[in-house]
Amino acid sequence: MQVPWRGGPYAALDHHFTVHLDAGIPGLAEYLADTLGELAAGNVAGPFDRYEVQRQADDLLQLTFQNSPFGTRLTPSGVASHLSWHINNQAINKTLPRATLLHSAAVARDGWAIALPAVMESGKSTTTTGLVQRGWSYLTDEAVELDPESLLVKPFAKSIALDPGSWPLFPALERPAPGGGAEQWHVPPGRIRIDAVAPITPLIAIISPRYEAGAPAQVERLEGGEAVMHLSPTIFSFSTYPERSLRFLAGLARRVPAYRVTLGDLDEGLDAIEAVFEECLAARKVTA
Amino acid sequence: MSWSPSARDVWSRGHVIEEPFEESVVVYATRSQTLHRLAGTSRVLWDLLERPRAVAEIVDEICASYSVPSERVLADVTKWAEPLIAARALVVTQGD
Repeated sequence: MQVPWRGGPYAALDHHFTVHLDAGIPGLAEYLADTLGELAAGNVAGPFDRYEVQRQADDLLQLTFQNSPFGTRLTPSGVASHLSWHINNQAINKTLPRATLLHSAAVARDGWAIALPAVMESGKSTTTTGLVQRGWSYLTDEAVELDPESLLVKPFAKSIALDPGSWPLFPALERPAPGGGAEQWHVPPGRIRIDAVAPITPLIAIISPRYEAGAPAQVERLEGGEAVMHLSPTIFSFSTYPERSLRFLAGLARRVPAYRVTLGDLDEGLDAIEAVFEECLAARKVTA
Repeated sequence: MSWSPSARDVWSRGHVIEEPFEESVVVYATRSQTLHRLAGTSRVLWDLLERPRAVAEIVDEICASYSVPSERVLADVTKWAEPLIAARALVVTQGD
């Protein structure tokens, strides 16, 4: 007999929550447990917000948050996408009053993190997946919380959300939802490599990726003011917190080198990013 | 649409938040919620407006530094100021 399932507690930045499933939705509990696993909040105190996945009369599913529906007549694949979207939004909205957030992926190697900020559809998740496959550790593919003083990047290790355009690049990561189909592949970083998630890591460089079909890999160093202008669209709610956001970006631009990288071919682009990282690492060693 | 300032107009910085860098300054105009990066001559002009100045004074100062006819300088500073005035990063008042 199947029993109801309770997942969590989980922590997505300042969004702390649990997920509850009705009984009898084959495979969905295991799928969500795997998808959300890296967000497990070992030592986070409550209260926890509550998501529920409920069966509807016609065998489709309904998602509620704090008892209010935000998705109805969903397939299991739709549940995964809606839930992921809602968790990201809540994570960002609950953290913003306390901290500036960059719309950015981040990965780490050799004890240093790089942030990969970019607006939507620029290839952040694809770039991140490629780097993790090359041995980098994962911090996030969505939102970077960075301490402006210590420059430490806090992990927000949600599953990597791969859109259909990226699927041919990573066929081994195919992850259909229970019942088949997927709007996105929600790839837990542990599926790419065991122990793929990095701890809190200091930032060494900002490398803003932009996918442009067929373009040769190109790297451009950004002067401080250029970096602020280029990165400002990647600050969540810049216009709500303009002074804090501008000071944050300016401080970052003064302390960390910033680059813009154009990627046409993924491997060439990743080579270019790794070359920039090596350069920054060498510069650090010289300075030290 | 072109705009012709009176030489007696006084330009001053509006409600802005600034972040200076070696090569440029980034200015956020709070009223229009727009960001502007000013580099090179644009930065020189912005720095001149650390205090309110009449347009004629700005033109004279630039003419004293560069060998350019004053009509040309007036045209250039006007072109420079237009978007900043539109964004309310610069405020125009009538001089005496």
